[in-house]
Amino acid sequence: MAGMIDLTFERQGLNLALLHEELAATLGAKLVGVSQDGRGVRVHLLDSTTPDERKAVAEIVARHDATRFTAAQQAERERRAVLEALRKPWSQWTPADKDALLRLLAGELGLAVS
Amino acid sequence: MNWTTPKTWQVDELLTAADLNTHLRDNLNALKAPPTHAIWRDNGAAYSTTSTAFVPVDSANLKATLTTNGGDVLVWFWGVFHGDQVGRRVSLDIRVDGEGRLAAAYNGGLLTHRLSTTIGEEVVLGPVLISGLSAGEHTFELLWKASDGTISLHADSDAVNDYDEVPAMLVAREVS
Repeated sequence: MAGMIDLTFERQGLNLALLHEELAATLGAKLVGVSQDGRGVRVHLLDSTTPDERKAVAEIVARHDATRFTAAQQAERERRAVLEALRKPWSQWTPADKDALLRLLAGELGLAVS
Repeated sequence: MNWTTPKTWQVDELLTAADLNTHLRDNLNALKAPPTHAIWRDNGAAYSTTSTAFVPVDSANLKATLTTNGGDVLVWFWGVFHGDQVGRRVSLDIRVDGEGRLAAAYNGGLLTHRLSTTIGEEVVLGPVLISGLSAGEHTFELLWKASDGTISLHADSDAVNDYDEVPAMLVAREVS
């Protein structure tokens, strides 16, 4: 697209959200996004990126570790774990369980729970 | 079969087999089977993007190519999308002949849809009537962007879950 370039890499096993964060940390607003099709990844950049920045993109893609999570993904994993732990008969619920559920519900409503 | 502008017949003109075949038979055949490109894309995996500007979903495989006779073209797309969180928005547009996009005056493209689940929901674009194309080869390419986060388009005949196992479909057909 106008004003943009794509850098394409053959790379499988991506955590796209994490790769986006890793690239954004270096490129800031010059990163438009990343796309994957199961075989490779395209990094969408503003065409104002410098050769050094493009080289940095290649390095970030190469060292990307798809087994790690973003903070949002980690929080979601923890939320699901809490929810899973609550799948038990009501008679077994402790005050701590009820407090955990209340925190989940408050979070869903956008209320601060930390 | 190409369309030929029908000739104007004159009084007392001899009807020849060649003219009838060209202007009647061939044109009826052309109307019966207009230039069409229907793509059922099995990518073997979902497509995903975090791009907040319009980019092609797949420049090689989700791009319809037609050799038209100068008529209008209908383009439509059907796919199942999901977001990494509820409330992500996917925007879709069409790029014709590798330039710009149809709804360039609209930041949301031809369509912006809010995804209300993280599992998958159907999004249909069009049909969109594209006019003003000259006779010849034209391409119609699906573009997308995400509001934020990650959005995915299912296109896999061998997914783990049946509800993920659907093609992405892009169709272009000359209609006049």
